[in-house]
Amino acid sequence: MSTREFVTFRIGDQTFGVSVSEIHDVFRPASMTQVPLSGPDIAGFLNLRGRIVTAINARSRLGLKSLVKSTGNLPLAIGVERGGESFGPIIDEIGEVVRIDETALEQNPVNLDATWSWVSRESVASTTASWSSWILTGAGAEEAAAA
Amino acid sequence: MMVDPLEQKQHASIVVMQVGETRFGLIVDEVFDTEEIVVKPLSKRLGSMSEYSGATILGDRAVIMILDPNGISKSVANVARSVERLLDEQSAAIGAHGAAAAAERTSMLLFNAGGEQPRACPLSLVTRLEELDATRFEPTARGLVVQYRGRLMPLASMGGDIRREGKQPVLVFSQGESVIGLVVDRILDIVEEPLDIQIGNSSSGALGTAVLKGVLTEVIDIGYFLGAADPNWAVAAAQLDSQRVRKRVLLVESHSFFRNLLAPVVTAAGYDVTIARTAEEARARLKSSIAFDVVLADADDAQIAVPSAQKVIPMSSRADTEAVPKSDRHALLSAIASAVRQKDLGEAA
Repeated sequence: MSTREFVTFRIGDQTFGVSVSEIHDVFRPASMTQVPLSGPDIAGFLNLRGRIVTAINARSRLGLKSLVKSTGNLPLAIGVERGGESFGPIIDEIGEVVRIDETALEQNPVNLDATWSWVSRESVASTTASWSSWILTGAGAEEAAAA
Repeated sequence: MMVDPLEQKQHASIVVMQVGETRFGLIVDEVFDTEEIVVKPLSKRLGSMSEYSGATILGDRAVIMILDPNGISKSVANVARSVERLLDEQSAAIGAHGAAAAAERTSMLLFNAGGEQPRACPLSLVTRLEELDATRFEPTARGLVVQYRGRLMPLASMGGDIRREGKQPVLVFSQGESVIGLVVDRILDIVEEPLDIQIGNSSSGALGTAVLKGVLTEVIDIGYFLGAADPNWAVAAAQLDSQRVRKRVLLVESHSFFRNLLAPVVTAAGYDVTIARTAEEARARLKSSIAFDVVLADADDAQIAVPSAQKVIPMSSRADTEAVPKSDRHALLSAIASAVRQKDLGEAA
């Protein structure tokens, strides 16, 4: 039986997972540069070791309600790469690396919201009650970046 | 832009930009400094935003957006049409008069300094234009200095008197850590014209005389005055003096931004610069009777590969290549100098 490894993270009340091979970094940027006139899904620009990373407002992208007010904490971003560009979806909290048996992965339910079925490939119901998550596959990050 | 409407302020800074023949001002809160930067392209996700031409990372690691004057002017609806028409007219004119002449236009700063005849120097050499309070100038053993942005800036004159009160226009030059102020009587204008020095002038401090805006203008050898004000600059000037026979450099660069950035830098270092915008143009230039000592070739553009026996210096705007970085003018100039030396040694042997 083959297993796959996912990095889990939390946005709002929802836990997500992305295949470990898709994630280059998890980082807390020193500062974020706002981009005036950009769409709501662009959070700004980050500097990750001399590279300019386009930060994606994952909450807005996924239709989750945005935080009323920033808690003052600097954002946490996961670094992914698509088409030679670096993107950093902003997340609330990083989880752990979980190993999931392939057989435990399930197809998206047909009644899944369209916004999410777009970014989610498969889902898994965890045996532990603490998280029941949609697995965002690597494609999710790309789609999240597509404004 | 998503910026608060202009408040009723006593002082506002206005950045004056020119697109084609149209000038417009951008009201800004604060002006910091000029910097040489490497423009990184924006994410394709933002590609449709014409207001920005790219982004860059500053020394303090902050990411900043680079505004595109053309895009901003277009976003101001009333300006857009006239600008576009002017750009069309301009490109038509370029086609008529030959691309080379238009490509070699140089922005020149016109000023008065000692005498009525206007004097000029390439604008790209000037770091900043300032009007300083003359009462703050202080005498030292080596001449007048002024406290300027946390440093002591020596002041030098190009013939005119240095005022002791009121506002004194100063051209500020910086090179690494050192900064020098050249005092002028009056700043006249900025013109963009082909720099064609018609009467060579052997007198110290002048490169020669050119016609700018229909007026005889003395083109200043800025390096001479900077050398007089600071011995460190004089060392650099002496190195230039040893190259009295001007070496010919062919600059192959497809981006107008870098052409405008590099051509004045290399010209100011005492080389004869010829510009080629494409590989075809470069090949045509190399086939002509004029022999070039060094070819500076854009390594970012794979299409520009110069097949020739000439010494080719690849240059790049990326940091991860072996090529000389375009934004590092010291590296670029020392690469040219060593290429010229090698070539001279090869010919002597």
